[in-house]
Amino acid sequence: MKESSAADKMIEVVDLHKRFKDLHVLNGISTVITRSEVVAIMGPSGGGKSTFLRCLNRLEEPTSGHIYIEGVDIMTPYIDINKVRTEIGMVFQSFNLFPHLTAIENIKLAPMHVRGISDREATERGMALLEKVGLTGKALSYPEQLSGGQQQRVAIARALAMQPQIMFFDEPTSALDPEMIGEVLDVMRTMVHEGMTMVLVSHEMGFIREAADRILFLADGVIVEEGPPEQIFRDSRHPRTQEFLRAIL
Amino acid sequence: MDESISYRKRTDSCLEEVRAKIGRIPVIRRDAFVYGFLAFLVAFGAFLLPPSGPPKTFSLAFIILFYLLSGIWTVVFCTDELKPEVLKTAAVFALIFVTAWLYYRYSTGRWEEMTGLFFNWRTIEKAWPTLISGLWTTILLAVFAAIMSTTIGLLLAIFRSFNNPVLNFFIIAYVDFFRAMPIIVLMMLFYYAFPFLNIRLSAIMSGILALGINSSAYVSEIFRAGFLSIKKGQIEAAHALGLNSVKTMRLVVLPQAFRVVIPPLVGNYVASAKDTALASAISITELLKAGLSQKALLANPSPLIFVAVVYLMLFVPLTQFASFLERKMKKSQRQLRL
Repeated sequence: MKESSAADKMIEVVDLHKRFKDLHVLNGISTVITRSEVVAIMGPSGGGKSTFLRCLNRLEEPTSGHIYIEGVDIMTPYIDINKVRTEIGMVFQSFNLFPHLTAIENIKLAPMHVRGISDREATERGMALLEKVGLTGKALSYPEQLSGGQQQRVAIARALAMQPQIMFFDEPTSALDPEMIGEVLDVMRTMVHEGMTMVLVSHEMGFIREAADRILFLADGVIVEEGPPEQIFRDSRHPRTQEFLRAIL
Repeated sequence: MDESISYRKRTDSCLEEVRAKIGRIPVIRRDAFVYGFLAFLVAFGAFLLPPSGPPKTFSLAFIILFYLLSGIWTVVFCTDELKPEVLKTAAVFALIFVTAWLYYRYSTGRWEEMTGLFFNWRTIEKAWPTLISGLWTTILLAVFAAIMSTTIGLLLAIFRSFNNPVLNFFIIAYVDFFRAMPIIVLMMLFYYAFPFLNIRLSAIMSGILALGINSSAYVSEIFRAGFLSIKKGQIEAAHALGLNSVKTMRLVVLPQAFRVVIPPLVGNYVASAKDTALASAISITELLKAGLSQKALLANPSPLIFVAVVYLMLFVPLTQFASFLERKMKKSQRQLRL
């Protein structure tokens, strides 16, 4: 376990609650995610995994609790949440590429209009990112012309274009055909090796076991168990975790 | 060598199948029968029908029989899958022509007199300048109302997308009020009632304002539907990248909504253009009023008929264009749906 100094704490969550009318989805979650840590969130459907992730960049509004991104409390009233969001890149299950723009335009959009980067420089950086995800040939293609795996890789490049400190993955491979899952996981593996702080919600047990530093097992809105993959997969202590693992492994 | 022999065997057996099938074609579908019957109908119509003028009872039965046979023939012809589409269209038009011709032949209408009265070219020549100026006024009203309604409607839809409850209340009130209010009443309010509030608007301004405001209520709903049709994930992705609401609207929502919105918007413009005829109520001499006034002045309905024809010539293509856009958009929508 790494020693976490104050400077290393990328995300700190303190007693996070999220209620949808009567449904208490998140019931007091607290955790700390440090720099370059890869945290996987696992659990049964409806356990709150995606909701938790989306609360961290306030795509969902938490009902109560505190969330500190690089030391900044993002729940304070007048915070510029969009500025915080530029530090967090997010990859969605349904890719969410902009269909009216080509791949390279998708990637260039945010750097040009949020960071104010020039067209030429944004294109350069964009092409470099496309090379990183292995899709330079598809720069001028529209999303509808790309396969699912290609779209997701463009989505990852688009998120990386803002040079975020943290990357969120909300079930990135769940909507992909099996042949395409590998190419997306390859890109994610590269990012792990480069030391990116990653929080991912996924069902890809193989990838999690290989890449994650820590697993948070979320069920019924609480962290039932957490620990390194080997500990969770081999000798999980909580009966709920064991029940889940038995069902999926 | 073996392959070519088996290929020949395959084509031979295909021919056998087709020959067997031809033998089983029903009588009414065979070319010989179909075209033979057509020839019979043409001969019937040319030689055996009673002369023009009101028919006696027996002749009437004859005529009806002829028409029924023509109708049945057309139906049989058009339901045949193997007949070319062009011929089918020609057959339908021919039937329509036969209907009109039978009516013309056996009715007791005074056709020459009717043409002289309703399609009097000399009268139309005299009325021409007024009619043309009326046409320009109609076009002016329609275009400016369209510009105004689009601007206001788009702004309303954008404000609506902020989801501010107070703002929404006023916008919904505006939309409901002006969708319910008849355009004619609105025009009269602007032209006759506003002067009492010291707002003096010219007739044209009142017309444009009333048409524009009424249309804007519909336009705002069209844009709003367009915005809602954008998948939520798009907006989430834009937010996750750090784009604020304004930039998201400008760079992500509007470009996509624009394509969705054009067909119903064009339909709305066409409907609004037809409503310009109402401006005659506040003494604007647009096309309809011009036709009516010339008809009264020259004591001949021809200018009005001409106006009706002009309306048809203007709006049939426009409505066809709007439908065409809708169909084209549906096709490309299926591609964008991921």
